Parts: sequence; C-alpha cells; structure tokens
Amino acid sequence: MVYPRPVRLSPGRYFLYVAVVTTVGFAALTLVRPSLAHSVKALLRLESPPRVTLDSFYTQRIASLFDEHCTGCHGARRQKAQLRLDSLGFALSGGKHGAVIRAGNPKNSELFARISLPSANDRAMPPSSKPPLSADEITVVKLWIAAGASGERPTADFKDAPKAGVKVTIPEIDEAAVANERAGFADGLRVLQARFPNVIAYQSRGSADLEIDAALMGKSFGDAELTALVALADHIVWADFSGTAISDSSADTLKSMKRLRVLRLMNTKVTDRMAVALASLSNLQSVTVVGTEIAEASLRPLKNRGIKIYHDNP
Amino acid sequence: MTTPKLADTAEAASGQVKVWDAEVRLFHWATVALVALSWISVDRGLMNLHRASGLALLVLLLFRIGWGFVGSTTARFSDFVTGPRRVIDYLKEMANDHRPARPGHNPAGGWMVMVLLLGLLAQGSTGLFANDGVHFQGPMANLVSSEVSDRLTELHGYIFNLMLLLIWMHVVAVFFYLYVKGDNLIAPMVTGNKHRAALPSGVQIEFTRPWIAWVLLALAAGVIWRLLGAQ
Repeated sequence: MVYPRPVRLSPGRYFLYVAVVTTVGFAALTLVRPSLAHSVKALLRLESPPRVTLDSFYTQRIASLFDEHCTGCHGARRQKAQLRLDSLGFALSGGKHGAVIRAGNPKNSELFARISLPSANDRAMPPSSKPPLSADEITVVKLWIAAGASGERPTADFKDAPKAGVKVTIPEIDEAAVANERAGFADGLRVLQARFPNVIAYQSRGSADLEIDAALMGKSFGDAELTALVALADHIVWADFSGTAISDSSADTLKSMKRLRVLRLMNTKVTDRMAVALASLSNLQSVTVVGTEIAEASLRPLKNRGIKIYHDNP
Repeated sequence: MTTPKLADTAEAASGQVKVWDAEVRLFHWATVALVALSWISVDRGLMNLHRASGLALLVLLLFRIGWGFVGSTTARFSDFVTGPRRVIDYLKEMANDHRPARPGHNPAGGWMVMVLLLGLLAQGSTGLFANDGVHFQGPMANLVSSEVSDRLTELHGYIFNLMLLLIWMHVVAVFFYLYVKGDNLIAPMVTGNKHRAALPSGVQIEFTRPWIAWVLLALAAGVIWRLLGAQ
C-alpha cells in the first residue's frame, strides 16, 4: 500500500500554520473556559479588574458571605468547576460552565439558583455537608445581583437588605437564672450522680451545663449506662467516653445530646456508623476518635464543618 | 518468546514491512480515546465514567511499561530510549534535511514517548487519590489525609494542563514529519506497516507472541484491582 504524498511545506511555513492553529485553538479554549480567558487577560493586562470600594455593599456584605460559605472550594486554594469567588473579578468571570453571575438578573444567575435550592438537592450549594446560607443571606445575594453586582455601590443603596448579623456579647452571669435552670433537672441529676459517682458535674459554678467524664469508669460504663443519661441530654456540652464499653448502639443516644461541643470516644468500639450519627450534632467543636475503627474519610464531613478531629491519621 | 520475522514473501512483494505490532497500535489509539473520554467526562461532571476511563488508562499504561521490556523489537524501551548524544545527533541530521531511516521510534520520538507515558502515569496515579471536595473522591483517596488528597487533586489539574501541552507538541511533531519531511508516521500506526524504501536495509524485527500480551494485560489489570482492594 502506497500512501498518498501530502503537500510538502517548508519548516517556516509549517510553523507559521502551527502558530495560527495554536492561537485559534487557544482562543476557542478561552471561549469555553471563561476563567481561563480572565486569567489570560489579567496576565496580559488587557482587562482591568472591576473596581471595589471599601464601603461598598460587596465588600461589607457579599465578600464576607462568600468567604464564609464558598471560597473553601471556590477560592485561591481550590477552584471547583474552575470557579473562584475570592475576588469580584473572578466571581464575574465565571467557571468552566460560563458566567455564574448575570448582573441585574438574579433569576438567570447560576450562583443565585444554586444557593436557593433546597439542601437535599444534589446541585445545591453549599453542598449538604456544609451549613447552608440563611434566608437573609440569600436575599442579600439576590439584591446585590439585581442591583448590578457592583463592587462600588454603597451599602446605603441597599435599604431593603436584611440587617447584617449582630455581634454577640457575653452577658453577665445571672445566678438566679442559672439556679432556676438547674432546678428543672436537679432531682434526676442527683439520682444519676449517686449511680455514677464523680462522672457528672456542672461545667462551672455559673452554668447549668453538664460535663460527663465516664472514662473514669472504664469498661463498666457501656451503652445501657449511657442510655440512662438521656434525661440530661439537653444539658450535656462536654463528654468523655474514652476507654468505655460504648459502641455504635449509643449513636442515637449521643445524637440526642444536641448541645454537645466536645466529645471524646478514644479507644472505644465505635465505627463509621457513629461518625455518620455525629454529623447531626450542630454544636460540635471537637471530636476525639483515636484508637477506634472510624475511617478518616467518614470524618471528612465533620472536618469540612471546621470541627477539630483527633484521629489516628491526623 | 519471540518470533523472528524478516520481511516475508508477501511483504516483500508489496514493498511493505511490518514495523508496529498490534499491541503497540491498539495501546496508542486506545490511549487517545481514553484521554479524550477522561477529559469529556470530567468536564461534564460524569465522575463515574471519569473514574472508569482513568482506571482503564492506568491498566493500559502498566501493560505498555511491561510491553516495553518483553514486547516486540520496536516496542521495547531498549530500542528507542537512547542517550542525549544520539538525540542531538539525530536532530542535527534532521536539520540538515537528512531523514535517518528507522523502523520504530526515532531517538527524539523515543523521549517524547517516555515523557508522555510518565505524564499519563502521574496523571492516573494522582487521580486515584483525588477528590472534588463535594460528591466524588478517587478510589484510593481514603488512604491519605484530606490535605494530601487536596494537594494531589491540585497536582492532577496541573498535570492535565501539562499533558495537553505535551500532546499538542506530539501532534505538531507528527505533522511536521508528514508535511515537512514527507514521512507519514500516522498510517503505519494504523496499519502497522512501513514502506521498505523508508527503512534501512537488512532491518530485522522480532514480534512477541500475542498470548504474552494477554498475560501482561491480565497482570496489569490485576495490579490495579489489587490496589483498589487496598482502599
């Protein structure tokens, strides 16, 4: 078989054609990858970044909201779907599927559509493992896009926007209120303290919150004993079950301790099932599972929420 | 293990000599298809398909590495991986408009093959540990911490861009041979044959028996299967 002889070109002409094809191909790529176009334009200084002022609604309300909910996956470190929301320029340039913000048109803005979806929806943002935006925050984004997604329009232009979160100040201890709160479960507490000596205590003299230190009881404290503490579940904020005999059977009991902030399960028989159950505890700040069968991956949803995890594979 | 094969009578009559075995050609075009499929699938968020094409690519790469040691003459690394001096000499000859005839990869092309193989291997390996932080993670991502997984995901993205550049360079080089040097490298990679006139005289290529390729492919698949079992 003799192959047809192709047209012969000089090296110079060939590389000229290559340069043209490369340029056209790259240009086509930037059309389907808006963020690439944005990066190239910024690199070549063909596009000046949108102006952003310090007193703008974007700086005061939107940027901080994106930082809190979005830039973990769409920021400098990670760019899921090639989308960055850590600057107005990046946010307006969109991701690999095109623009996500259409100035003046929230209904056709992918970003607004995604944050408005119910969290059970697969396309909802942030994903279900992360805290969703509040209704007020969604309204704030909607108003900002509707007003042109500007980096300069001042906060005063957004009179209808829900107020920003109020800073919380810690009130003085109200001893009467604490005593009143303690009285509500004092009888039950007394009985349980007698049954489990040195295990249950108030967190401080000025608090009605409880700490459980069952590690002291070792293997004599198991699932049945933990079930007995359900009556105090609403008041338990700190619990150490390290070295006890509790297992996954206690998952539902622990789920009932909604105010739990610190949980230690070191050297227990708990497994991934327990890790899944813990996801429903919205106040958790720290979980210790060293010496358990819980896989590191099962703890990822907790870790993604910023909960401090102590695991065999830190 | 190998069957010596000089140009037989039929080949001599047609003027064609077989230079590429079916294994090398199938590997080449299957790799093209799988790289394209991996790109399209990740672009459209079809992550299960992306995982399948990535694993298939890894199996093929392991097969090709093994074939580089036990395969036919032109498939072996010893045939086309040369020292830098030979690459420079080859490029000088090319610049002087000579066309050094070779049945398999030329010294410069040999290095391109190695870089592409290593790049694809790095791309496939990092993909095993990658995650998209939301709904998908590579089949071995559980074996590393989330920080390491994130780093490898980042690397997976960088290597992909590098691979695009390398593939483009490969395509430019192949068409350079076609349009500037008048040497069609594409057709032989389809048919396996080159014209005798394009080869040095007395060229002798030994072809490895196909069952060895099947064994190697099964071994490569077994290695990947075993790796996945380790998660």
